[in-house]
Amino acid sequence: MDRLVKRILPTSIAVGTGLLVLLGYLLPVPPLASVRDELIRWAVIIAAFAFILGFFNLLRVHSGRARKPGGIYSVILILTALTSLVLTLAALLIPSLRFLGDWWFRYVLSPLQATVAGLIAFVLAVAAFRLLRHRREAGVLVFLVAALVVLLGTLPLPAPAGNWLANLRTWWMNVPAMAGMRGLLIGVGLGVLLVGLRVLTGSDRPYSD
Amino acid sequence: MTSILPWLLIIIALGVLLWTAIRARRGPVPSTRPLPAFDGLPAELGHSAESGAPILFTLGSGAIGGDRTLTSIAALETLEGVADAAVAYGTPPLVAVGDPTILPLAEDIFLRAWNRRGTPERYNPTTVQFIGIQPTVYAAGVANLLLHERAHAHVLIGSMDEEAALVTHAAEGRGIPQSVAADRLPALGAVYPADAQLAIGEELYAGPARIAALPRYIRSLRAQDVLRFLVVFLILMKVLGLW
Amino acid sequence: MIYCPKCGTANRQGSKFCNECGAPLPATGLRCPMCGAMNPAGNLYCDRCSARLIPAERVPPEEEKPERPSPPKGISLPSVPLGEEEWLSELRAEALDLAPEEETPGWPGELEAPGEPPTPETAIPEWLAELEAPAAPPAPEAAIPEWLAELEAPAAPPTPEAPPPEAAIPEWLVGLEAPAAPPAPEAPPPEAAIPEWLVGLEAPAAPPAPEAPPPEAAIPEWLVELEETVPEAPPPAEKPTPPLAGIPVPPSGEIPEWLRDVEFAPPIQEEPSAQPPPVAEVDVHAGMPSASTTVPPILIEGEEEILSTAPAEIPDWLKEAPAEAPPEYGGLVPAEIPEWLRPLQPREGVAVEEEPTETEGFLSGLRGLLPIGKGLDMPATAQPLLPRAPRPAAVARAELLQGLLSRPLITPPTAEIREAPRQSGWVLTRFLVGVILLAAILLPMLVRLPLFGPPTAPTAEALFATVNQLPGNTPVLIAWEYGPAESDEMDRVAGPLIEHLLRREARLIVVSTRMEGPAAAEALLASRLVDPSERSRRIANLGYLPGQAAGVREALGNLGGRTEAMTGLPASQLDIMADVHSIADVGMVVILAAQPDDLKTWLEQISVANPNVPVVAGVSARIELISTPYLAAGQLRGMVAGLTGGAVYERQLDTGWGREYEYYLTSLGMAQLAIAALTVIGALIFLVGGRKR
Repeated sequence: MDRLVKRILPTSIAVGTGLLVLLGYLLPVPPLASVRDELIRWAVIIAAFAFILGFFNLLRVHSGRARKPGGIYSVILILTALTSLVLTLAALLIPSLRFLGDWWFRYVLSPLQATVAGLIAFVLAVAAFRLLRHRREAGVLVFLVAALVVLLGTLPLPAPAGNWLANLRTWWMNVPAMAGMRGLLIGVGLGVLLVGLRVLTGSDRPYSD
Repeated sequence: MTSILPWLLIIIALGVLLWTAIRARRGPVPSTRPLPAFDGLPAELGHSAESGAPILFTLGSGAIGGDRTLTSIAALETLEGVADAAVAYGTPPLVAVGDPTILPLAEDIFLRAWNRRGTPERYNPTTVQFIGIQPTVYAAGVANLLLHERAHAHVLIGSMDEEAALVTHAAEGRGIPQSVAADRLPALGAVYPADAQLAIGEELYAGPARIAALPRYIRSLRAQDVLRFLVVFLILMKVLGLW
Repeated sequence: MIYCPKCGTANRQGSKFCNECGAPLPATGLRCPMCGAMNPAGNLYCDRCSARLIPAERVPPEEEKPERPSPPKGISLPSVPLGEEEWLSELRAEALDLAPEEETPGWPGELEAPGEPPTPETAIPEWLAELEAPAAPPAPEAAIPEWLAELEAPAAPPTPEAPPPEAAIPEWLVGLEAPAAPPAPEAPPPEAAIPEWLVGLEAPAAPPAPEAPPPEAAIPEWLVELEETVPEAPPPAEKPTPPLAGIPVPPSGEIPEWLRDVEFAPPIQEEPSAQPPPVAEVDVHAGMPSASTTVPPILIEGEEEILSTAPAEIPDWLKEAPAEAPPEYGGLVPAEIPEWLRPLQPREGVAVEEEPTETEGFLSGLRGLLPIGKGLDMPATAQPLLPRAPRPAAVARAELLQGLLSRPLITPPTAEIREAPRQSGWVLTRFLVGVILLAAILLPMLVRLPLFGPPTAPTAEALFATVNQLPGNTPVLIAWEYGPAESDEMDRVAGPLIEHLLRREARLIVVSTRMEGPAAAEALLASRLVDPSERSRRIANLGYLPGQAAGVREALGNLGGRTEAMTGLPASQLDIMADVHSIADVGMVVILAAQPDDLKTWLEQISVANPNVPVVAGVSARIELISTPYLAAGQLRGMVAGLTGGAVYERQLDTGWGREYEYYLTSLGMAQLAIAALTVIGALIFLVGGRKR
């Protein structure tokens, strides 16, 4: 019974649902298409409920961390999350309060996200500076040359250097970089295909033992 | 031909999987080539147990139900490969997820691992932490974890873009060893300069085979190899004008 | 099915390796008669139900022993049938030769299985073979004697049997039933068939008496050493009562040769009619050192005192030399019955109370097995074996343990977070890089630097031309796939395009698969819309589409079924959506994407829903490389990429935001130059300075 509930039943549901959706895409049969759409709708709803799980997980983790040294940031995070929730619900329930949500998004959340995104450029610059500190292989040399070609080739420098760099950049992007990108994507695509087949055939069961 | 090519690949993949499954009963499991990004993981688990500090696993921002679903599933499989050993050592890793749909799956991995050990009461609900849904927010949160939590090592495996540089930078600043497995181009460009063992592209999908070494994963790699050679053959045929 | 010994997974018959974990599987061969499970060929007992797989028959030694398969890992019991040891078979043969019906105690042989006929010869036991020839490798499989195996896992549940005939009763039990005259001590039998160590047990029939210690040569060295270390202790005050007092001594013919020398207690000098005490009243500890007996201690490492539960003096069997030099058997030194064993000898002339014969069960026909009478249901009270006065060493250890346990539990201080040792120059590197970047970005805003020429972006110019040809009042679907994190760049990419569409009098229908997309769209639309009152007539924000690709597909087929995010009204009620129900009613699709997946998803779904609708894109510079193939393939009619593309589009449009784009582009160019310089400088430094150790 335990095996039936923990292994056979979830696997059957997963494999059956996957096959129904796949067949719904393959076969132009209206009933199958409607079943497919309904199953996808259910999946979307379940995924939406996962956000609730994530929210409570966030509160649980940071409420525990709030008591430790440096917990003031966890307190701020909890307050910010609750504020966002309250303002969003208020905007939904009372349309006249929508401006509060817009204000919160535009002047608090957006600048914070933009700031963090701006740090990426700084971090990449530090990483580029320390490139040869960690690696001494042929690939590093290629990486170095590619980075310089793209960085300098993008600049609207005066002719003739600017034109030459721009043409080099165009060639580099269209030939070696594109080739490498396609090769990588083909390999990734094959990996994705095999993982998908493993899940679809029930060989992989991330949802059960 | 181009319209049936995907179906041809799928059929061939299924055939190879079936063939390797049958052969698996008759012969030993073949080995895979070394992958430095994953080979050091079992040893790091032991060191983590000795030091008492957990390993931080970053599973990326991929969700279940989108384009990054299978990348996230591969990351979960790798995590499952180390879960039993980690709970046996008594130092389960710290797992940071960027999408709430990954959260219950990751939690279930450790819950089942503790159940298999017969001590489900030792499961800590904060083993898996949901950081944030926006990729940059997620990366910043993981970087904060690395800076303020005592992590022995860092493993990044999952779907991330260039914000992965924030995470690897924080780990590098802490001086802890890290392994990065990325299959997206922006992430690869961002983490390549970092001080980390890299698994590039499809090597991410070889992680479960290398860690858990279960026959079904290695059979999948075999099928992947067959398909790769087939695709290369078709490309050559097309380039040479033979098709 | 074959069960994997490693993970327990059931595998198909004939599998050599586990399908789940890849572990090698044992070869199958035997089906269990009880549960039907398949077991490896070498198993004696079923792995699942522990039933016996191979009938309990003796394999004649002259037959070839079956080839032993490799033992299964983990769970199987002995894999080969165990044969009877040779010494037992020899004894049995001798007993059978002498008097098959005689009540010779053959209890060692009878321990195999009741009712089974004995076999004459078997292999030498391992331990004996090792003593004979230490070089010979021990048999790997025959580790458990059969009599022990019988005790471990009986083949079948015992079934009640009819009382066996007289001949089937174990001889030693029969001997207890009918005591005969005490046997006269006999000379030892021919030595050839008796193991040396058993021969050595044959002491003279005379009652044991202290004898002179044997010559040194006859005593093994280790015994001599033991004798030296063991201090002399006073003999016990009183001779312990033999435990088998009252048990009659079987006649001489009944005693096996090896047991003959066991001295039984002399018959109790009492009236023949005197009954021995009932079995239940026999002190089970008689003969064993009691608390009142002064027990000399044995030396244990590190201690002063010595523990012992045995008599201090060297047993007679260690001291005495056999009267006759016994023949050697396999190099063993003959031994004598130890003194403590001598009381176990059956006493002569002692009548044993006749116990009733069992009439039921497998014990039927036997006597004296279960004590009856009082005391049967009373638990045996164990008498303390340790001396009353604890030894000082034990007291010290107990006190130490008590002290450790009584200490208060001290929680060790929580270890502070150990900061990893900073790598050399880590802080300095970050500081310098930060300063350089900041200077590169801020300098153009302070000083006009004529370093760069006008930007060029052919794709942006083509897109401008495409949008310029758009008829007025055309519904344009905008996929707003970026959020606040990318808004700094994407607003400069999307801004001119949005303004151009508004200038062309297009109706903008905004959707997004990102949660923050609709809000980001509202922010930019509000800044680019000249007349806010025109919003309801020009813009419809249909909000967030859950489900990514599935949500896009559903929305493309039913745009009218959605709800306007700002007003909450159904889209079908909006004037702007009056003639727009699906993707087929849209004149153009604009994808504003910062992630390659978003661009790919929309292109794929649009190509399925309506491949004829023109699609253009405004993308971040980071995905320009990935987007170019779509442009080359014709799936995109135009594309503006990055800040450069936005600046070009802005210049074409001449919206008045030119100066701002000039600042951005100059700062971007300076930052790129700075990063390129830092990359080269860092490469030179670490190339010359050496790699990190």
